Amino acid sequence: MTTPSPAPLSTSRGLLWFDRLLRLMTVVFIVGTIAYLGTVVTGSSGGVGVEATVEPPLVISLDDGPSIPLAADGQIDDRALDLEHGEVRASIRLSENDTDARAVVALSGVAVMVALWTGLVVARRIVRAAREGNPFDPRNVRRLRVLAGLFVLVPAGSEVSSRLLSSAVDADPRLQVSVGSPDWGVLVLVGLGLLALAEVFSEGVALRDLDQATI
Amino acid sequence: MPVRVHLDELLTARSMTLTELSERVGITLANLSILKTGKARAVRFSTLEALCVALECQPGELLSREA
Repeated sequence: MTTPSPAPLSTSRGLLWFDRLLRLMTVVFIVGTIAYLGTVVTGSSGGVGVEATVEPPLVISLDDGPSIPLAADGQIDDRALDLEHGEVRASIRLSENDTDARAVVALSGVAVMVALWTGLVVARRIVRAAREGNPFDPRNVRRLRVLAGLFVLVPAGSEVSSRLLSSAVDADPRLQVSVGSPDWGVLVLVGLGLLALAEVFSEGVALRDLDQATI
Repeated sequence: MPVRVHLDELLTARSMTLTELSERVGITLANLSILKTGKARAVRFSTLEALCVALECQPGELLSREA
């Protein structure tokens, strides 16, 4: 019994270069994942973004330091502070005793890594199917829906982790503590676009099946 | 499927095999089998014409609609 030979890959330049880009991204992701997991294991991660809008004059009070009046942008110790129209953004490193908050930050990072890896693997499989001459593979419909779901899940997950972090660090209610605040609007739009594309592909699958069943 | 293809009956009447018909009309044996077993979802007019010419029949003899 002979094994079937693999389908010849499409020579379309667009698909070829996109496939190469995804392969390069895979390498970058591997390095990034190893680096991130290293910081999680060694505990050197744990920075959290703090956003607040306050009226000037601005005074920053930190638990482990004196109150610092600010009149302009600057950097104090290892804390970078950016003043912009009365809006204060600070990146604060969590203390080693702050295990709850550090756990939330680490888990959020791992969840984002998993989402990114899922998206990358799914995207590569979509491109692979197209290069094998079968872009309207029914599995590509499901894969596009998965990609669309990721674009909605990531900001939703970020919102959940920010709320968990807020309760974990016991921050002043006026401060919005977050591990990162993605632009909901853009991500949901991209997700909707991918969902629409999934429906187009679904129709394409149906038309291809009809064509194949037409004698 | 409500539309039935009477390929078997016509091949028997014309003493023709499916392979011979395939060679005459230029349709693969696999596609003719799909047609014969009622798994086809659509038939092109060009295919119908080629079959009718090869089987020396009218479309109404080849196709019928079941109630």
